[in-house]
Amino acid sequence: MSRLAAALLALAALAVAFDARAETAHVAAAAMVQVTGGEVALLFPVEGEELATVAPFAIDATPVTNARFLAFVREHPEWAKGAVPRIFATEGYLAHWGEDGGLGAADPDAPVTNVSWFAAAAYCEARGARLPTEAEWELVARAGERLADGYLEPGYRERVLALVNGRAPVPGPVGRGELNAYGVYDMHGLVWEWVFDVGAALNTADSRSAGDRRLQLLCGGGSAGAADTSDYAAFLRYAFRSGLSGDYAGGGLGFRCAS
Amino acid sequence: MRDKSGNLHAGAIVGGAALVVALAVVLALFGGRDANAVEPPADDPRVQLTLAETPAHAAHDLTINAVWAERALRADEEDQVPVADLPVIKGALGYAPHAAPPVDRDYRAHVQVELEVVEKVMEIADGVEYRFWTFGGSVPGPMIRVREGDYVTFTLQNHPSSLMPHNIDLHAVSGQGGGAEATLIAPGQQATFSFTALNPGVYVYHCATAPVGMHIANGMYGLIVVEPKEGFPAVDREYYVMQGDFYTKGDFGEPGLQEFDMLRAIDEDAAYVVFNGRVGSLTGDNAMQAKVGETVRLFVGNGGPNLTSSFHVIGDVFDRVWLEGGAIVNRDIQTTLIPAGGAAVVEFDTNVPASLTLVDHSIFRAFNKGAIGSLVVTGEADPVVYSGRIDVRPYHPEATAGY
Repeated sequence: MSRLAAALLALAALAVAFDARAETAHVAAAAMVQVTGGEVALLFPVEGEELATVAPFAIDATPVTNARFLAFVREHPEWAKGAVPRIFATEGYLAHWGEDGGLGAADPDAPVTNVSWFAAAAYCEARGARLPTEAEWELVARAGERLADGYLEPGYRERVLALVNGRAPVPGPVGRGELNAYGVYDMHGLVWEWVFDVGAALNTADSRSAGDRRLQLLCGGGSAGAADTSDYAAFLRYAFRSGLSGDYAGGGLGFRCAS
Repeated sequence: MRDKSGNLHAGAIVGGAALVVALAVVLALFGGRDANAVEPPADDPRVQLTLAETPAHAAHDLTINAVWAERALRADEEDQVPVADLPVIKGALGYAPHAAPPVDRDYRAHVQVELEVVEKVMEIADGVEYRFWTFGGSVPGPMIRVREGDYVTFTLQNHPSSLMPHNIDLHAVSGQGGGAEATLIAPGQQATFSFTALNPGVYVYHCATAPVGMHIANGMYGLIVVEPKEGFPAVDREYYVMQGDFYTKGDFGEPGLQEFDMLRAIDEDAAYVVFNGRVGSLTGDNAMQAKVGETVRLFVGNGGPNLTSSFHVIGDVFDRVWLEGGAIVNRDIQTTLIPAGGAAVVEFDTNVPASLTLVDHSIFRAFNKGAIGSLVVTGEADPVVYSGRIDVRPYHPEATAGY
């Protein structure tokens, strides 16, 4: 079922997007990209699982845009701005949209932000998809410009860190930033992204005690259990995740779906 | 053989040493907060003896040390006041180079402190911009000043425009991560925790979110001063100076917005070593000021992340240094080491007009990386203390040496 359904959903999503505004070819690229699975070294591996095994999956080529999320909200008004119960999203939910529940001044082609984990997961579910797992997301994020393992490309860590550190406070349109070896856009340069099992990555907020994955992300000890202490961009990602709760809705955090 | 007076002198030294040992033992035994175990020391003959036998020129310093000893010895009734009964006050902050105002209280309080994290582009040198991560919008972050024993409710706010999560580790805090665990927050969140300022001294605070070095290298540090119950002795001027090292893609002075350079930071190859977050923050129109005859106190911190400071003021001697920001006061110091993540209090009495120059005496940092500041002392000259040039003339050694 899934292939046909996904294709129909993608078409529907495309139609909605075209309806919202004359879309660029870039946004049309939000179709999913197939990713061969494999093994990925997480920054803070669980003991005995130094390499996480990832089965083949598909992931959105770009983060979900404001326009696409608006279409979702119109079909599922329980996720409209102002309608969502506080336990599912903080008051910052869709704060950058207009007061009437439309996009307001928000760029339709920019990644939707100010969305909680619950809202992101509901969006993906409505598409017959789900949020990517941390391991899936990290596997894709690790791709370089040419190689699936970006660590093998000279300057990969510095390039990714510069992308993360140089993000604009208000993200621009998707699909125009860095493109990786899988054909996936904007893994680093636009926004942080929710993952399905963000709770599993929830290290406690002080990490100087070595050895415990839950105690690893803060201060110097944060490096004690890390797989690669010079991948600062990865530290930033994991630290960001460790500060999150599922109802959080912030300006720099969006998502993409996987299946 | 020594004469009688010599023997007496030696005896005084031995006696003094014994006194120090005795005080140390008493401190070790009764340094805690158990009122039942502590004898009121007001009439403690040992403390009296110390003060009475102190030569006049050293009275100030030994008074301070004796006060510290007394603090540990004294049974503190105020410590028994429940937190709920403490007066609630807003903590005053000081933005460098201005220190936070002295506490000026002789009672414990419940102090509420709020600090906002802001990521912002500022100049690190003329024409050179850097994306700083800050406490309070400045580097260093504002000085927090409380009193020993205060109960502090601390709220950290991460501005919604931030891209990164942040938190705070206050070295004055006894507890998990110095508050780091309690305060990790995503952009647009705030978190609150409380602590009691158990130890007096001058302490660094910094962001402790991974990668910690990067958060510190981007400017996330400041000082929290916990005044001893008796307070610091009154002085004429107090300033707040904090050193930090920065790692940019471009070399020193290369214009434009400079990216953080991770490899350079790991190699500890600083492009900039500066006071108060910027080349020139304490020179020219920004120089600190004092008048002849005043006593100046500098709270000096070092955020690092990497380099230990050989802190020195050209043209004066530190009359007193609270070593590493702790309880020991040393005298007549030329250069004091300030470790990364550490601090010191230096004091000097200004004797003559001069433009004093603050440097990291690891001197290439001063001349080539920015670690330089000024304190301009104005007032009347004293040619006995310092004459200035009296005479200049040609010098011909061959004429006098008979060549």
